[in-house]
This record gives sequence, structure tokens and C-alpha cells, in this order.
Amino acid sequence: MKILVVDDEIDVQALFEQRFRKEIRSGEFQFAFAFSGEQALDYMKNNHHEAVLILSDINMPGMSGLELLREIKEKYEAPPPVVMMLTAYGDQENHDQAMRLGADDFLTKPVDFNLLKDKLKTKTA
Amino acid sequence: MLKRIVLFLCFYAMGLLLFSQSLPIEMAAELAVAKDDSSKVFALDKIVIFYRDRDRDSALKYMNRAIAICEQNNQLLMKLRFKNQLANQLLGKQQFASGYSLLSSLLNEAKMVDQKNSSWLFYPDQYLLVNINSILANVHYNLQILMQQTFNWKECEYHLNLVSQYAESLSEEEKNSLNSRVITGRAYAYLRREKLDSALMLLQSAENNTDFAETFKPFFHMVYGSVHVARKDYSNAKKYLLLAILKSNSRNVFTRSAFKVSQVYRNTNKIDSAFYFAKMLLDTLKIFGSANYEVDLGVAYENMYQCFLTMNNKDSSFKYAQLALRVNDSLSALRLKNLSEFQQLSFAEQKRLEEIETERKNKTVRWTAYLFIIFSALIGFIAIILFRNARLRKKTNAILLQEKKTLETTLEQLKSTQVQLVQSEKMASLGELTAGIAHEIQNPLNFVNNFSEVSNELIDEMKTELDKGEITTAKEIAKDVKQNLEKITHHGKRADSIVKGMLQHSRSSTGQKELTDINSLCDEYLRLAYHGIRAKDSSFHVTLETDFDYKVGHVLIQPQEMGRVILNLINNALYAVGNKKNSSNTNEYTPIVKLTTNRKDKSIEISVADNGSGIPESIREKIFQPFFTTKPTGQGTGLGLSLSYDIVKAHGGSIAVESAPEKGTVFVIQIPVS
Repeated sequence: MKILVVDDEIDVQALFEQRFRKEIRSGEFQFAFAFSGEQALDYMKNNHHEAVLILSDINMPGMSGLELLREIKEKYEAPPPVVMMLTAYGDQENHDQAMRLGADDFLTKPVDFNLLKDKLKTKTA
Repeated sequence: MLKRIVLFLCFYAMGLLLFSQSLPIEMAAELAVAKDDSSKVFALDKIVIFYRDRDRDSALKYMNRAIAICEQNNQLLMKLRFKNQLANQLLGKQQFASGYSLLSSLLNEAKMVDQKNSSWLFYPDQYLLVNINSILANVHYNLQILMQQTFNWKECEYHLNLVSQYAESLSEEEKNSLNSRVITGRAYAYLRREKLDSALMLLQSAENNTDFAETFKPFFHMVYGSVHVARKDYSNAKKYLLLAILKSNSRNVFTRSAFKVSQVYRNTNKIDSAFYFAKMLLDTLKIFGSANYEVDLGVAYENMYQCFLTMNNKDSSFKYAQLALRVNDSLSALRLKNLSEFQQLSFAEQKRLEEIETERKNKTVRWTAYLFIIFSALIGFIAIILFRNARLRKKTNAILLQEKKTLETTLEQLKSTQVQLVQSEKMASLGELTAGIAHEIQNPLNFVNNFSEVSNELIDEMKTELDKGEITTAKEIAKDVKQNLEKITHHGKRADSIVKGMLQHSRSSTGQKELTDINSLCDEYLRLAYHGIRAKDSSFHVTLETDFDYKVGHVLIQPQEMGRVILNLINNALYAVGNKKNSSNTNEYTPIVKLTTNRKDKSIEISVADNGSGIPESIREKIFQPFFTTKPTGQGTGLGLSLSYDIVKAHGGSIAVESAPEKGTVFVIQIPVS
């Protein structure tokens, strides 16, 4: 199962690869990384909707996570990939807006990786 | 001898002719045919002149007639002229008291005269201008005579001086005439006071004076001769006295000279000549009467007596001695009477004058007192004003000083307020930054925590692998741990630098210029600004665009200061688009804030653009002024742009603004680079 992680922090890749090293080693999860909304869209286009789950940060320079969310949910045919939002701003309004745009989940930073692992397993099951 | 007899006969005949009393027929005729009053007065004037030395009573009669006519015609000047002549006649008659009264009244009347009202000013034959000063001079001359005859020398001198004064303003001819009389009069007074040297000096100096009036020469010679007699210089005396008699034009000169010359001959033992002149004098006086009391009938008899005494003719000498005694008795009585009358009058006058003087003095004293009081009052008044002014000034000064102190205090307060405001502006922007900073710190902290946790797990795994003897796997894990530790260090430092930046931002600027990466500075503050505004308003969404020119590179600036400028401009842009978003009802508006850097030839440009509502033309000039703000009260200090302006100026740069209503605003910072 392919998971696309979108965040402007490059070290997120190293972190995910280590946190999920067992799952990666066992082949349970496959990760791809994009460092902006635009990169994420490019990846989706180039890899034919390979990813079934997108984990996106919201606050990014350029295209924000929410815009990316809207693009994916509006432009991609059913079933659209599962999109989970990850943000430092865990306020109600941000949450509500993400949900309105069709986010499948809403997680706040700092990420509880055990919780994320469970959720990913549930979503991709 | 024959010559002398002829000369003497000549003298005698002349004397008789000179003093003939019958009025010449042409004068009487002129008066008879005179048609108008003015002609009558002129005719009378001539008659008066004819009589005044011959027959005093006739002269007085005609004078009174003339005065009456002048009175009728209101000819004041001419009237005064006749009255003055009348006074002269009174003096000749030794009526000193009435003469004095008349002369005094003339002085008063003269004050009332208006020269313009007098038309009969010209004296037809001589064309003498009859003017008020001429009359006054003559009045004072008569007064001088009076004072001299009554032995009042001081007054005599006083009036002589006045004559000279009035003469100054008169015609040359009249002036000379008056001055000649003054000189002679003064000399005569000296003679009578027996001040012979003074008299002689005066006469000697006047003798060769060409200005000396011819008419008064005989009188002058008579006085001169008399002085020589007194000095016992008989040859000179005889010379001048005979000259006086030869040219004598008045009874006064003639009788005096005759008397004196008789004396001279007696003293030089020329008894015949002495007797001759004594007899001539006596005859003249018997017929015409005396011209003055000094040479009167008594004097003539006495002179005769002295002659006969010298001739040793006892009968005749006795006869004349008796005559002299009798005449002298009555004449002396008359003279004493006249003198005492005058003394009484002049005493009364003196008393009156004294009273006037006292009054005048009192008045002067009173006036002095008044003046002093007025002056004092004035001084007091001025002093009060000055005092008031001084007090007022003092008061004003005190008030001004107070105000100055207040102003200084206010200024101090304002200064400290300004410092506080600048600080609070910094703190305000710091406040806006706090959320952004928190967010910025949150990210590296998350990494630190996560990488630590993961590393911990990795160490456990590595132990397991080592126990299993899987050295290669353990080594790979160790490599990961090392990498993680590096990441921990990196993110720790990142957090550290954010905190340091925050502290620097809040500190007052003493920052040194340093080479700063402009693009990353811009990026850093853009993020801080964005997170700041997001922290305040989480629903706020804005599209942030950046267009950084990599050629901008590093520039020597004060990074915190310039960062503050960038932050301020971005915050303003965010505020502008936020405002427009809130006021627009549709969702069509997408707020955009764009940060651009540009490398120019000799400068770099940083521009902050927004698509907000724009800045109205009316306030565009005010936006850089301190305390100007469009934000609601309490939300903005109004110092942001003002401080930004100052900071950019301090970097030698400029800050420009372009704005279009409803389209947006662009601020462009230009900083020169060498």
C-alpha cells in the first residue's frame, strides 16, 4: 500500500522512514514523499493514482494542504484517495474546513506515531 | 580880540534867533489849510517840534491837540508818539511825578497796540517809520532822562540798555540816532556821578564813530566839554564847549554850554569872557526860561555873582548873591517838591513793584511747587507703571518659566512616551510574531523529540542485533542513529536561532551591520508574519507568493532592523487583504501577498505587494508620519511605517509606495549596495 506524505519539512522523510522501518521492511507500507502541494499533484499525475492514502501538512508555502485536498477530492475520480490532514494548527475551524473539503481524518502535530500507525492500518485495510 | 567879539556877537544873535518864540507863518498856514485829520496831525507835529525847545506851554497845547485828533481816528501809534513827547516836556518842567506816571502808562498802552491798525505811519518830511519799537525806545529814553535827573542810576542804566535793545530792530538811521543818544546819555550819567574816566573813555571811543548822528553832535560836545571841565582840562573844555554852542540846536545844549564855558573862563582868569557868557546865559534864561534844573535862573545869578566877585565888584556881586539866594530858594523849594513827589510816587511804585516781584516770586515758588508736584506725580506715575510693568514682567516671566518647565516636563514625557511607543511597537510586532515563532519552534522541537525517540528504539534494536551477532545490521543501525543525532543537533540549533532572533527583535537596536542573505531573511519574516496572523485568526487564508532573485545574495545590513521593516510591510499587506476579504460578501476574492526581491545595478529591491483595497489618495502622504494609523483605536501604534522609513533611511535607502484603489498596494524598499 502506497502512502504519499506531503510536508515542506524535508526531514519528515527520514523521520517516517525510521518510524515505519519495520512496516517498510515487511512491505506492509510503501512511502512516497512530496515537499509541496504542487509536487504532490505532480506525483499523483505521474504515478497514476498509485497512492491510496495521502498524508498532508496544511501550512506550506505555495499551495497549502487544504488546496491540495480540494484538488484531489474534486479532480480525481472515485474512489478518491484517502486524505489525512496533519497540522500544527489543531483548531476547530481549521478542522471543520478540512472536513468540509473532504478530508478523511485530521491529526495535529506533534504526531503520535503509534496512533498514526493504527489509523493507517485501519484506513488501508 | 576883534575876532572874539564878532564871534561872541554871533553867538548872542544865534541864541536869540534860535529861541525866537513866534511861530513861522508857513507852519501856521499848513495847519490852517490842512483838509483832513492826518494832514492836521502832520502840521501839528512840525509845530510841536518848533515849540518844544522854545515854549513848553505852547508845545504842550499843540501836543494835546494832536493827541485828541489821533484819539478820534484811533491812531494809537501816533498818539503814543505825541504822548511821549509830552512826557519829555513834563520832565523839562521838572514835573517828574506826572512825567513818570505818563511814561509808565505809555509802556502799558504800547502793549495794546497792533501795528497793523496804524495807518499814519509815515512822517511826511522825514519819512521816519513810526513803529512800536521806535516809540518804546523813545519812551525808555525819556525814562532814562527821568532816572538820571532823579539820581536813580541803576534805573537809568536799565532804561539805556532797553533803548539799545529796541533800536536794534529799527532802520539804520534811527538806530544810529538812538545809539548816539544812548552813548551821550550814559556819558552824562557818568559825569554826574563823577566817574570821569569812564565818561572820558566812552566819549573818546564815540568821537570818531562815523555812525554818530549829526543832530546829537552838539549835545555830545557839550557833555565832552563838561567832562573836561570837571577834569580841569580847560583848553579842551573850551574847545568842545564853544563847538557845542556854535552848532547848538537846543536851549538845553546852549544854556549848559554857556554856563560851563563861563566857568572855564572864570577859572582861567578871563573874566571878561566869563562875564560875557554869564550875561548871555542869564538873558537867555530870563527870556525863555530854563531847559533843565541844572542850569536854571538861580545857577545863572550865582554865576554872575561869582564873576563880579572875581572882578571885585562888591555891589554887583552882592546884588546877584541876593538874587541867587532868592531864586534858588524858590527853585529849590519847587525842585524839592517835585523830587519828593517823584520819590513818593516811585516809592509807591517801588512798593508796588516789590509786591509784584514778591507776588511773582511767590508765583514762581508756587509754580515751582506745582511743577514739582506735577513732576513728582509724573515720576510717581511712571514709577508705578514701570513697577507694574516690572511686576507684570516678573509675573509673566514666572508664568513663562512655569510653562517652560511644564513644556520641558511634557517634552520629557513625550520623549519617554515615544521611546515607550517604539518599544511597544516592537513588542506589538513581537506579539504578532509569537504564534509564528511558537509554530516555528514547534517544528524543530517535534523533530528533536521524534528523532530522540526513534534513536532510542534504534539503540535497542542495535543491541538485539549485536547479541545475535549480526554485526553488519548493527552497523547500519548505528549509522542511522548517528544521522538522527545530527538531525537532533540541527533542529536544536534551528530552535535556538529562532529564539535568538526573537530576543534580538525585542531588543533595542545596537545591531551592527552584517552581510545578510536577503532572500532567506525575507522568507523567514514572511513565515513569521504568516504564522503570526494565522495564530490570531485561524480562519485567515492568504496565498503567499515569493519571487526571489538569487542574484540579490548577501547585503550589508542590520538584519533585525531590516527584518522588522519587511515584517511590518508584510503585516500591513496581510491586514489589507484580510480587511478586503472580510468586507467582501462573495468568495471570489482570493487574498494574495507577494514578496519579491530584485537585483539592480547599484541596489537591491525588496517589494511587498498585496491585492487589498489600496491606500486612498488623501492619506497616501500621511502614512509615513508617526502615529498615523487606519487601524481601530488600540490595534495599531501608528509607528510601523514611520519606523520602517527611518530604518531604510538609516541604510541610505528609500521606501516608495504605489497604490491603486481596489487593486492593491506595492511597497518597494531600495537599498544601495556597493
